[in-house]
Amino acid sequence: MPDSAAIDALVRRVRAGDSESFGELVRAFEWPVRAWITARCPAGADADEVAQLTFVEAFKNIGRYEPGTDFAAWLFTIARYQVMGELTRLRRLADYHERYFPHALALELERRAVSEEPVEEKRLVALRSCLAELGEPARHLLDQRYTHEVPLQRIADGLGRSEGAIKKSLFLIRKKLHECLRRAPGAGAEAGA
Amino acid sequence: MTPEFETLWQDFTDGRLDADGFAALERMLRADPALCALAAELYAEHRLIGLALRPDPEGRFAAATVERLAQAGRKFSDQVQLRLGLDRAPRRSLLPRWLPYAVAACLMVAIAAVWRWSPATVAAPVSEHLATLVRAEGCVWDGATGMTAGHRLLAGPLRLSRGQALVRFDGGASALLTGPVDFTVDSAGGATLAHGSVTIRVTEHAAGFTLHTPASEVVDLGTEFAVAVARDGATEIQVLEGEVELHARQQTSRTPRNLRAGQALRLRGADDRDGQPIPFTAERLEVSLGRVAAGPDTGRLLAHESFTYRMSRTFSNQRQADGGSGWQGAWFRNSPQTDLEILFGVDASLEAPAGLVAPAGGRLVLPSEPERPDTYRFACMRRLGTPIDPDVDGTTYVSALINRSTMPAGPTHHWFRFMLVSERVPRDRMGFGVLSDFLPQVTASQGNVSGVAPIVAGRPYLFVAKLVTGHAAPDQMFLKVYDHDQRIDTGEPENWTVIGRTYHLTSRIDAIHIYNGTECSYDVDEIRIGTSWLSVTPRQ
Repeated sequence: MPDSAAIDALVRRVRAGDSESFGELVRAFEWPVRAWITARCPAGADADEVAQLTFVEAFKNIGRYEPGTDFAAWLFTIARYQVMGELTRLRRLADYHERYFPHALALELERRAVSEEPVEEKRLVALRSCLAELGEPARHLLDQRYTHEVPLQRIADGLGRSEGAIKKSLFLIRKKLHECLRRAPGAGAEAGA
Repeated sequence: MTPEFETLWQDFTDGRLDADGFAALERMLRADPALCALAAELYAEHRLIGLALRPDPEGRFAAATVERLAQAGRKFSDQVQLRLGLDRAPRRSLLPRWLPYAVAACLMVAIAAVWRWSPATVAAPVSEHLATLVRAEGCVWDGATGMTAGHRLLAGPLRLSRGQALVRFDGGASALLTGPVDFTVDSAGGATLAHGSVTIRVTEHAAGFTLHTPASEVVDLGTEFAVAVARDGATEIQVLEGEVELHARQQTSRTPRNLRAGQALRLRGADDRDGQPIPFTAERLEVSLGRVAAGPDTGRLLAHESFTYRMSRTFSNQRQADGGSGWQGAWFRNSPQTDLEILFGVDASLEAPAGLVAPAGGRLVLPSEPERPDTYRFACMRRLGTPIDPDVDGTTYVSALINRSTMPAGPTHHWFRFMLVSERVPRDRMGFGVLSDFLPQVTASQGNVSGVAPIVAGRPYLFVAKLVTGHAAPDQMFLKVYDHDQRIDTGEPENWTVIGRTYHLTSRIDAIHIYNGTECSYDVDEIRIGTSWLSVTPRQ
């Protein structure tokens, strides 16, 4: 992550018409912003879409940023606005909370979107380390579920196991990752509370 | 986390929750802010797992973002020129003017409503109960006495010289111990078997269970397996149903071995990496349980009130309502300043669920404010003949028939409370009741926990509460609510309707308070206090 002086220099170059400098800003803040938004977007929201809109809005308003202040805080204010807008949009959908996402959880995510410091990049780094500690069968199962979104029954059929065993395996893997994250310095639950 | 929440949460994250499941999850999250905060953490982790695993060629996101700007229909340089122009002159904000105020308001709300993982008012427990001894037949314990069915267990050894014991872990697994066995409760979802035989059954909805032995670690993947450890450390594992993950102590790779139903393996000891198949001989847990007949209930009924009174009302100073057994003195209102009456429904007992001893006599009537002004202000109170000492390890059961007799006469304030209290230190109290949203609740000074299914007017419910007290562990109340047409469990239920927060009672519990307020009337009947489940749920 560039230091604040380097960031401000990039901002000045963007204002002067240097497109590549904006790309550098995006690359510098890509993972903190994507991780923070991903952790707060409810079902039905495309987190990367919201993250892109955050950067688009930042670009459109780059003239409002004052060099010498905190660019990350300014950028995350925009991210909060984008996430709150998405939460509001989804809340207005009929049946959304009865079928897709509990209302109480959506309210808690809103509260966190407003009040919490962004520590998700640290959690993402810690999570990658925790994932690396898993055995290959566990990694394969997570890939099937998260990356390829294969239904549980098909995963079970492919592995010659019962759906119940796959469910329980996923539960245990998630629990292991949760405990690993809690142990990671600066990335545990209290870090974002 | 309860097994019920874990099941709902798992289904939610895997996109398998139906409408009923959503409704149940919503109710659980609304009822418990700490659980909601935990759910938000778990949700964030779930989403971050997806992000971490996603194949993401370097620079793709940044390139796509810059490309998006280029596709906006104006040249990149034109936009920058426009920004340069705006830099030199005052410009209209492109963000809504209300945004800073909305953010400030939300921050104020967030500061005012701080969620925590656990209530700040709960004193950190010395230790925590992790399991319940559900059944104990002919048990001779090595180093422990007085452990009967219902006893809550801390982490630590359970050495059974003789007999059969069924232990239910808070994580949802059940373990059948057949003496002699040297067994240790490690956590709500784990145990260690040093020697002896156990059969572990994990319900479909439970989180899983890990059993450590000298030679291995056996991780349940659903649902039943038997393990026997010999004195020399040789371990036999037999899978009765479902699948287990077996991690041998000497295993060098991170890949465990899976055993499935019908498979049986023996590990010679801690240095045996592979084990040898053996004939399958294990017996199902239910079959083993059925071989040993249940002994007589050893519990005592400490107090009973069936409201068999001839008068429809009395006053505190008349001391007329002194029936039943196990009490000290008559019913009275809990303030000497009041002359409010205490009301009864003569010969109008509430109907009990099928199978229980039929009620006799009448009922206690708690009118609403519109029906009888001010009677809600002071609780109906009675002193216990046998107070409960919270510093003594034990369990006390309380049951009562409760009927919400009318629809509420107003929009708010229709609650009911049945509290076990210390007369000397009124803030030391724990009990159960019904909230304004008609949800059953366990209530204590440090916080309340609600159930998810509302109480319906005009139908009597059987409330059965279990108060666990002890010297080394915090006190806690569990509540089970039965609808009129529900079958009553013959022993401790596998699932409780509400599990209250832990707390440290410091004073003797020597009275009960019963009260309601204000816009809804309630009736109470057949109050029982005893030392066992069966003592407060007597059968016909």
